[in-house]
Parts: sequence; C-alpha cells; structure tokens
Amino acid sequence: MNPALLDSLDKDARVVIAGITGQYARDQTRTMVEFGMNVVAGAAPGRAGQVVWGVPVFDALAETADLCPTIAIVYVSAARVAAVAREAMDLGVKLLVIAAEGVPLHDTMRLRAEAVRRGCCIVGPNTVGLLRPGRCLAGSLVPDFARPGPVCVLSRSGTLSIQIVSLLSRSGIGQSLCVAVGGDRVVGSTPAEWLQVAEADPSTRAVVLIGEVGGQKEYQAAEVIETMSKPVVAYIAGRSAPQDTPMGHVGAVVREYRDTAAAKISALESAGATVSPTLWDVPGIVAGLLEEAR
Amino acid sequence: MRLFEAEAKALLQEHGVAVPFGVWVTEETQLLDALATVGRPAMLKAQVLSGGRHKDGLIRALAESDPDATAVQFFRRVVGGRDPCAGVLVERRVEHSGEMYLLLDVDDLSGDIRCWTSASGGVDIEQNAGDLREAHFPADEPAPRERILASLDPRLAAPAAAAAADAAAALVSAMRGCDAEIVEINPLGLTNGTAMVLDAKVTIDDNATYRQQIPAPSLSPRAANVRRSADALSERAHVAGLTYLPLDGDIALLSMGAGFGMAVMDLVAEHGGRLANFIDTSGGVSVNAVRELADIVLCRAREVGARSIIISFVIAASSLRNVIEGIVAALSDHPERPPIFSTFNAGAAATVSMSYDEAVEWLESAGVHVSPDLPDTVSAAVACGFQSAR
Repeated sequence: MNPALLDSLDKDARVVIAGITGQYARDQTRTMVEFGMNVVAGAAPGRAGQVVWGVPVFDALAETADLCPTIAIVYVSAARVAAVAREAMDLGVKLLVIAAEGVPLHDTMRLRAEAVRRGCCIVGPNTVGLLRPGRCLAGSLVPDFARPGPVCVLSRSGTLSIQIVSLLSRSGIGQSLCVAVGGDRVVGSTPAEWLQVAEADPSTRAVVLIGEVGGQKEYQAAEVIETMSKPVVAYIAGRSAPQDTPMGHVGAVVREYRDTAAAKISALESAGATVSPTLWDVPGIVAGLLEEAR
Repeated sequence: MRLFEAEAKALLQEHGVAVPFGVWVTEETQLLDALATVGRPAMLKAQVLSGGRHKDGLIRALAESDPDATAVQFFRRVVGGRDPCAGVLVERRVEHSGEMYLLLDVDDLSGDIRCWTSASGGVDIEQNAGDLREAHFPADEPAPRERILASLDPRLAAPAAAAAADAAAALVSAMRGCDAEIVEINPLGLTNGTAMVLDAKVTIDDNATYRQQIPAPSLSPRAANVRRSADALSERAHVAGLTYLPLDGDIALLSMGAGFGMAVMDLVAEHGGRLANFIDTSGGVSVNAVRELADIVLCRAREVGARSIIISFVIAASSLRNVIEGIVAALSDHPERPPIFSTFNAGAAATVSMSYDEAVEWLESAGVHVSPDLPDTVSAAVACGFQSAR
C-alpha cells in the first residue's frame, strides 16, 4: 500500500456511496455530510433522481464517472458487493470501503487481487471504515467519540475500534487515523499494511493495534513492528476463547496454538509491542508511552 | 458448511474432478438397489462429519463373495448407532498403486489459494506433516499445471506427478467454483498416469451456499439431523442468524459485535469470572431481532442458574431505541432472573431515536443496574452471588 494514500483522505476527497438509499446507508450518509465530507453522489438501482441528505442519487456508480470520485463506500448487500466494488474500481477510486458482512470469501479474494493490481486500497469487507478525526470520515466510525491527536488505531473489529477510540478520547488521547480493517478472514488491506502507513505518517506518534484470535494477521503485523520507530500498544481479543469455535467473526477461530491469543501476544511482545491485558488498560499504557517519548 | 463426503465428491465431479462412481443412500430400502447399480467390489462409507472413519469402523470394503446381509448389517450399525449418521455412500472400489495427500486452503493475508501436497497420503498423514510442500496461486488466475508440477515432491514418478498436477489444477478450479474454504483430499489414488479422489473433506463458505447446488440427499431428515445443533438454544440462535456459544461459566452475556463480545469475555476472565455464553448478531437490529437475542441470553441464564447477567454493547448508527425496546421486551418475559448489570455506548446517529439518558431510564426501570464504566459493571457482575432480582 502506498503511504501517500493518506494525503488524499481529507474533506476534499470526492466520495460516492453505493446503496445510499438503504436506511443504514442514509444514516451514515448524514453523518458523513455533517462531518463535512464532500459526498458528490450516491447510487442505487432504480433510484436515479432521488436526493439523500443533499446527495444526488444515480442508478449505478458507473454514471458518476464524470464526478471523478476518489473514495467509494459500498453499502450494498453481500451478494452484490463483488459487482459493485468492481464498478467502483473502474471509476479509479483510491479508497474503497466495503461495509457488508457475509461477503462470499472467494469474492473478497478476487477483489483483493484485483485491487492490488489496480492500486486501489480496500478497507473491509465487514468494516465500519476509516476515520481521520477532523479530516476524513469514510464509513461508520463515530466521529463524536473521536478527537484529533497523535495515535493511530488499527483494528480487525468494528465495535472494538469504536470502543477504543471512545476510551482514548475520554482519557484525553486523540487519534491521527482509525482503520477498522474488517472482521472477515480475508480483507482488502491488513493491519500490517496500515502499520507501514502509520510509520510514515508524520501526524502519528504511536499506534494501537487491536487483534483477535485466529489467522496470521498479527504475525504479519509483528514483522512490521520490528522495523518501526514508533511505539505500538497491542490488545488481542479472545484470550479466553474456546478451541475450534468461530467467535462471531469468520476469521476468529482457534484451531491450533498459533491461533491463540497467547501465541500472538508472545510474537507481538518479541517484536517490541507493549501488550495490554484488556482493552480498558490500553489508554493508560498509551499515555505512559507518549509521555516517555516526549 | 462442512460437506458429507458424498456431497463433496458430487460437487467436485461437477467441476471436472475424477471421483469413483457411487450412490448415496439414506434409507435401508435403497441399499441393495444401490449395490446392484455400483457393482462389486464396493466400498461402504458412513456419511458422518467427523474424521477418523477408518479407525472407527465406519468404512467397510465389500468383496465379490460377501453376502448382501453384510452390507445391510453395516448400514444398520452405522445409521442406527449412537452418533447421527446421514446414510451410506456405496462406491465402486478403485484399485490404485500409489497415494498422495492434497490440501487446498486460503492464505488469509494475500487471499491466495494455497496448495499443500505430500507424496504420502493415508490415515497417518498427521505424522507426516513435515513432508508437506506448499504452493500459492492468485485467487483470480488459473493455477498453471507447470507450477503445480514443480511444487510436487520430486520423488513422485513422472506419470504419477503429471496425473497429480492435473488433478490439483482441476481441484483449484473446483475450489473456486464450489466456493470452498478448504478442500482436503486424502488420499488421491494414483494408478498408471491417472489420479482419482478417493476421499474428500470439503467445507463450503457459509456466505456462498445460496449459489451452490446442494445434492438432494443433503436435504434428507438424516442429513439434517447430523447438522442440527446439539442443544435447543444453539438451534434457535442458528435459525435467528445469531452466533451463540454455550460456555461453562455462570455469568450470561448479552452483547453485540464479535470483537466487543470477546473483549468483554476477556474482561470477565480478568476479574475472575467465567461466561455462560457468547453471542453475536449479524445484520440489522430490529426490535424483534434484539428481543430474540435477549431472550436466548435470558434462557441461558435460567438454564445454568447464572449468578448475574451482563448487557453491554457499542453501536455506531443502529437505532438505540430498537435495541433498548428489544431488551426490555425480553426482560418483561423473564420476571425471575439474576441481577443484571449494563454498560453501553452509542454514537450520535444511534441516539437520534432515543437519547442515552432515556435508554438508561428504560433499563433501570426494568431492574437493570447501569454504569458508564464497563470494568465496574463486570466487577459487580462477578462479585454478586445468585439471587432473584425481584
């Protein structure tokens, strides 16, 4: 992923929203418009001519090409994601946020491969998106829980990203960037890729990484953490998760020791991260590290 | 969804993979007709979802000389046994001179298909795991036969390696076509330059079953019985589209969001408690959906004699009113219950329908102790002994 991506993620970005007429998407559109995002168009089949919170609606994303969108947010149902996401990539967007839960695995695998080739960054599926407090909102993260500051938050879980942003803000710690990469087994961009962005981002001084049991993403992240100059505080959800049982997220399942929180914590600590025993201890640890770095 | 062997082979065959001729029977009355159609020698294979069938006596070879009664006895033993069984696959026995192991799965980082092979297959593959060789193939391109061939164990004889590479290429294509998460072939039978799938374990992506053809015997009552959840609450949750896990603790949890639920579970453990369940929603939060979620949690609390219940959630834009109305409606159906402690968080979009303070009032009126701090809530829930709230 190109770290320069962040430069294009601000209120001047031209945002299009697929599936804009559904109730959830309407609510999110309102939040993004009130945040100050430049939402130039929405799309929903058969709804051309409607207006959602001041945003004109077209029948398909392809009809918004003249508006030169740079960010697409996809709120369509899981079965339609593959087709609509390709339509968004055809527009040349730099960031594509896919909210839907339940996208077929092979659809995501193909979309990821295609996005890598085309230089498009996908966040999701199964995500609440990306937030740069005061600068950019692409998705369903809660801007009123956030405040600008020096900490980048990366999380596999949507609810945990919302919660940690809230906890950090209440402790007086603001955020530079928050990305919920998505709860599915395969996602468009991994925490490790976003760690490289955070390392290069001058507004980030520390990173909070929220991982989960299951899969390899935290090991890939550990390899990047070893090379980073900025401190990383990690929390792995599911320390007490039972074996062989998917914990809600498709990817969160302990099948072997490598999948456990204990194994991941060990790898992250070896790489230099400070691991927090619970989510609620994270702000205190971050505050200490920021103080040390002064 | 984990497939029965017979389902897996039918799907693989549709995608051009060679499998032995076979007939799946779910009723004893179909057995002898199937045997006559398949011919002898045959293999009788119990259709169960657990592994280790050879070791458990759930596979039997039927020779030319074996009487029909042998097949009938096998059917009665496996189908009438203690563990649910979805019938028997009657399959033509395939003679082969060599065996290998092949596993296709998904690399969760790159999204590539990974192909793992071993020149030695069979029931002891776990002891030979060190021999596994790995190759990666992009998700949206065909797997080149030459690359598969290069990835195989060089000890394989040329005709066998060529046949295995052809089979692996077909299996990669089938994996995509079937929306499979895992395809495990053990063994792949090799004879005179041909390869045939002798046993297959395939797991289909639950999110893609809507676009896959499921063979008719899968819909039989026996197959449904094998797949049915072991307990009534799990089955109810499955029907409602919820992830529900009964756990062995005595604090029931109502939460929404998988990651958040796991974090609460960890926090409870950190305070010395153990949860009686994990639960997660997917999709929207209508009043009725939340009521069903809450009712399942309250039933679980009653089932285990829970000492307390924790209600905790974070919502960005879902309607807080829907969530609170659903919870309160379920609580009204369960007047006898242990103490309930709650902490929740809702973004501005969520509170358009109901303010945070109003939600607190609703919950407190229903007898729920609300605190703004989740560690305090968990601490109280762990500390309290069982007593009825009313």
